[in-house]
Formats: sequence, structure tokens, C-alpha cells
Amino acid sequence: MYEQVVAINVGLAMLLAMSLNIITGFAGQPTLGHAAFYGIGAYTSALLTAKAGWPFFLALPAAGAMAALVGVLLGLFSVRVREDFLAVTTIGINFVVVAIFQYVQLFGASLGLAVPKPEFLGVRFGNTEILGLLILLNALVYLFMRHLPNSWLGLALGGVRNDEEAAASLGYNADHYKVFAFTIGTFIAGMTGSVYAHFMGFISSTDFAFPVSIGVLSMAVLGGLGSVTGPLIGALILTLAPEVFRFVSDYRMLVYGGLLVLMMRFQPQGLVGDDSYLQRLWTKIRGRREEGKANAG
Amino acid sequence: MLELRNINAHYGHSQVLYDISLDVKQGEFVTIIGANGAGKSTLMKVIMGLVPVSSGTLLFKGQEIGSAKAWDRAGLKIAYVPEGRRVFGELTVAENLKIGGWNEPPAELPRRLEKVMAIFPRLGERLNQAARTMSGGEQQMLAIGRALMRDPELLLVDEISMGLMPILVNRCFEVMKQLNEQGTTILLVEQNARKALGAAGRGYVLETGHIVLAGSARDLQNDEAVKRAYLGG
Repeated sequence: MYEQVVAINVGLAMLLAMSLNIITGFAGQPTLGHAAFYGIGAYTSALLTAKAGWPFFLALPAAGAMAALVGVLLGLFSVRVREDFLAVTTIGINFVVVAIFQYVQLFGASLGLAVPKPEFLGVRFGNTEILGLLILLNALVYLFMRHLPNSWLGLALGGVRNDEEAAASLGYNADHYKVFAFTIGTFIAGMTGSVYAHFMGFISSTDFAFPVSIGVLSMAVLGGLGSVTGPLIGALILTLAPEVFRFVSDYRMLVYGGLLVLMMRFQPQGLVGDDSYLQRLWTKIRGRREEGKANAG
Repeated sequence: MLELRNINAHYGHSQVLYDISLDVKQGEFVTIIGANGAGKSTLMKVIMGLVPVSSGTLLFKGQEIGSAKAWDRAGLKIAYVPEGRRVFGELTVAENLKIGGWNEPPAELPRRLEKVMAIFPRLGERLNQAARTMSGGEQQMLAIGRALMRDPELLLVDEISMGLMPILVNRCFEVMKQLNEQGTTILLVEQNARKALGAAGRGYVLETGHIVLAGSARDLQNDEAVKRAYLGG
């Protein structure tokens, strides 16, 4: 069913946007190669199920763990370099990972990999089951994100993002938090890749190329980096837009690039981030409604 | 309480602090005055562990802390009000204060928060406001408040008067004196020598990375060289 497939794509995009938001939004570490971790998860899960005969539900967390393993390495690297170098490095990682998928025989090289449909308790996973799984994963990650800003961890990440030195003087080990954000963010991206692989039934290196990373970044930026609901809204808009307007699909990179420039210039906090036009409008409307209620009562 | 013996420190290859020795005793209010670029802020950062010690001994309550990382030192009841306030702009006032109480016993935090708000009622009025939207004076209060959440025994303050209106500078100095009277040991680095020597009991003069003079605040105020160089007469 068409609607189901679109919903699955939205669900995948939301997970990716939220996972990038943990790294770039909450911890403030620019990543331009998020699709690499999506791909590592997808290929890990594909190989484990197709070649090693693992059940999908073991391959799913393993895919996350494999992505997170590379994520930890990137995180350890990130604490040694300035942000601009990190941005360039993450682009490099994306290209290297895609090249490995493209040229190494184990990964199917340019032919790609066929991925078996998952089975659980005798139920073969169709799109409905995949969608159900995505809703569950989205709910879990969303709950984590919602809880994060009010937790010590969220405060620590906020402190490190705002002023690393001041945070250090207050007892926060900035390095720990950066690596932690990379670990969690890449873990979620890896799991998402696993779901993608088993939903598609076939993966190839271009599915995880640099433009995909830019797409995910655009979603997070459009909705609002560092806000809890922003990445969800960005993912929804940018996944549905090509379905509604065909031309967006043809000029995808142009739209993403243009959006990034426009958002940075006019609304860097994103559509629903703190102090954005929409948020202020919403506060105003709510204020008026409450006033109305008070007057009526 | 705090003891520095022959401390040297570098930024890369260039030496910033030369053979610094000073001590701050429990309950004292000590100031380090000096011109821009004398190394005052670096000295603060060395004590906080944000700039590494190249050589020398750094003791806090008799314990060597020179090699401990900044985030380990904060557990030692030393708190730091950095130059230029450095509050977390995107976070609210409440979050900024809460961050300051990291690793402190959670049961203590409400009491400390109340204490901070009693000293700076203005912060209590703005708890849910993003710190960046506040005035410079309010941000300075927040930076002090954030440090006080640690309930420090030693408070390091870097350039409290920078960029503040005179009336707010006075208020900040009053608060520091009050804290000192209540038992907090204070080490203040300050360009405004007149104010600093007026408030402190003892002082050091730092010039291009060397301590050139030390003494009671009164002696320094009456010292001809200090008068000429720092007190404008």
C-alpha cells in the first residue's frame, strides 16, 4: 500500500533526524556524514541475517552496536579536533564507508545485497509489521529525547554545547559527553539502517551516500536543531514534500541546499525551535485563549 | 588553603606565567591586580585546571592538584566565576543554576537555590528566561550564582567589574564581601585595582607573568608604584 510505504519512509527519516539531533543539536557536534552509520547498520544487519543466519531481532541491536562502535571512534576523534575539522572529517567518513560498500566483495560490491524479510514467532514481516516496529522505535527514541533536556545528561550536554570551558570548570568532562552523544546517535542510526535494509529487501551503497546525510541534516535544521519535536516535523515535511510535489523529488539537492541556506539566514533555531516565529505565535495564541477563558469564566 | 609554589605555565611555546608563588589562607579575601595581558586570567585557569601547569606545585588544603583535570578539581569545593561571565546562553536561568549544582548532594540543592535567590532576587524573577536574553549585570549575577550552587569553600572570581555599570560593580563587590564575611575564601583577579584593594584584605601585583609585589591591601594602596600604575595617581 502506497500510504504504508510513505509512512515507513517518514518513520525512518524521523529516527535518523532524531539521532542526528542528539549529536548535532544537543551535543553541538557537526556531523555531515550521518548516512555512513545508517549504512553500517544496514549492511551489518543484511550480512548477519543473509550470510550468518542470525534472526532479525538479534541483528537489529547488533546493527546499532556496529554503527555505535564506529561512532565511538569518531567521538574520540571529535574531542581532539575543532568543529570545522570535524565537519570535514565526517564528510570523509561518509565517502569512505560508501566506497567500501561499493568495492568490497563481501558487501556485494556494485551489485548490492539482497536482504531476507524478517520473521518473528512465525510471522513474516510485511510492511504492516515494519511500520509497527518503526512506530515503536520512534516512540522509544522520542521518549528519550523528551526526557533528555530535563535530565542531568541533557543539562551537561547543554553546558558543553554552550561553553565547553565553563562547563569543565563546573565539573563536566566535555569529552565524555561528546563521545556519549556520538555513541547514542550512531547506535540509533545503525538500528534504523537495519530496519531500512529489511524493509527494502535489497540495499546498495548509493542508498547511504552523502546526499542522504545532507537530507537528514536538512530535516533536523528545518525543524530545529536541539529541539525535541523539531526533527520529527522536519522529517515529516521533507519526506512528504517529494510525494506531494513531484518537482521536489527531481530537484532534491537544490531544495535541501536552499533550505539549509534560508534556515540559517532567517530562522537558525528551526521551525519549532526555541523562540522561532511559530513558537512565539503559538505562545501568543495560547495566551489569548487562556485570557478568553478567564474572561468567559 | 590554596598554595602556589613556583608555578610556570605556557600557551603552546610562549610562557605566560613565571615562577608564581602565592598563598590564600582560609577565610581570606585576596586580590590579584594587574594590567590587561599580565596573565591574571591564565593564573585563574591554572588554578581551575583549564590551563596545564608546566612546572611547580599547586596545593589545595595541602593536597597536590596540579595534575588533576578541571572536571576533577571542581569536586574540591573550588568554584570559578569566569571572565566575561560565560553563562550558558541558550539555557534558562534555572538550568544554569542547576548545572552549577552538578555532583552535589541533591537534597542540598533547593536550599542553595534559595540562598542564591536571596542574594540575587532578580534571578528568582527570571528563572525561566534564557540566560542570553538578560543584561550583562544579570548575567554576572547568574555566573556568581552558578558558582555558589557548589557551596564553595574557595571562590575564584575573574574580572567581576568588566563591562558592568558602576552601580552593578558596587553590588557585586558587596556580595563578595558578604560571602567572605560568611566564611567563603575569595581570590579575585581584577583590573579595577581601586575597587579590588578596597574590598580585599591582601593583594598581589602581577606584571607580564611575574608577581612583582605582595602585601596587605592597605600597603598596596599606599605604595607609590601601585598608585602610579594602577590607581591613576
